Amino acid sequence: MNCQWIQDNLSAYMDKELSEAKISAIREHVRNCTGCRTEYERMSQAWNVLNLWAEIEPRPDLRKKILHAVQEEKSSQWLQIMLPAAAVLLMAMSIYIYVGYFHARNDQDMAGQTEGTAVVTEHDLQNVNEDEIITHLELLRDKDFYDTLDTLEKIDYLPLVEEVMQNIEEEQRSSLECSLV
Amino acid sequence: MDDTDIALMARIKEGDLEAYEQLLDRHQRPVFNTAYKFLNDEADAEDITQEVFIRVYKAAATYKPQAKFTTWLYTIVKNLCFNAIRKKQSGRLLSIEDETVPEMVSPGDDPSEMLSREQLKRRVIRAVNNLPHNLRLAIILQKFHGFSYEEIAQMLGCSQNAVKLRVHRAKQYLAEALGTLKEETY
Repeated sequence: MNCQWIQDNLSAYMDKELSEAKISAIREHVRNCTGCRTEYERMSQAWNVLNLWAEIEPRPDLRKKILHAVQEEKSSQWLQIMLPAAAVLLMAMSIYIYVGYFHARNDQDMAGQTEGTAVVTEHDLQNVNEDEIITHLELLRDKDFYDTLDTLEKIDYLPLVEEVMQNIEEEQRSSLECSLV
Repeated sequence: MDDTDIALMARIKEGDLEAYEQLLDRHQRPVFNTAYKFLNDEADAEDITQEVFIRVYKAAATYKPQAKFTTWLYTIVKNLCFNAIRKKQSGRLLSIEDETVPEMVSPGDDPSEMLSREQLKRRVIRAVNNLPHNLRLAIILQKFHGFSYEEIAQMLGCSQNAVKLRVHRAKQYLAEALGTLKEETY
């Protein structure tokens, strides 16, 4: 252990970062070597003077600021979790409502088609003439009306006027031909 | 008995803000003082402290106690301090990795002169601020927090030998800068 090695390790010696054996050896050397002792005193004096640079207290509102920032962070973390969940829920609800609406509308259309009746809206009801209703109600009392309805229901196909006229003409033409023969 | 830092982190992970406040009360002051001594600016040190503790909160969910809590905590402090220095020096070509100890242009005042405590303190602060960043942080962590070379090496991401060398060079520089001081002055 020469003076150079001792001086290179003085700092670690001061910080107790050496093995016990090395610490004892340096202690012994410094006691007997003027040059190394001077260097050691100079370094340790400078090191000790750093104690003058004492700690300071942070401002009291720093703690408050940190806690506030963390509360905000906590809220934003909660939002980061809840926002996508809410978006998914909203989307699912929209799909449910959309599908439900179209199902209902289809059912209504199907019902309208099978019954062969038009859907009566409130607007239509408002425009119905009261006299017309009374006439219809009186019609229901008439027994012949039901017979007519029965007859109408039994007829599969009602020919158009043109078809009837054409048939009549054909019948007349064939009877004329027969009479000529 | 107070919870250990690691136990507090586990409670914070579960959303316990009381545990967070306990951790904050335990470490806020030393973290602030590290940043303050490194940056020599109270407002910057406050910003760094706030950012450090927000990061601690954010990291609590994924925190795994692989080393001492303080080693992890001061690694965050170191990163934020170096970032702050980089921002300040963005116009200059200085590197964080630069470890060149500045030359002593002037030995300062007459070393035999009896200095007031305040004058001496100012000289100490000036001398520390003249140190390269890596050396400055190493001695702040060693001198004012009593961290071992091994812990400082983990925080700074270097070898123990590198820390030993940095602290040694910093002490040599400070001894040179502060001159021979009369014992009565401190």
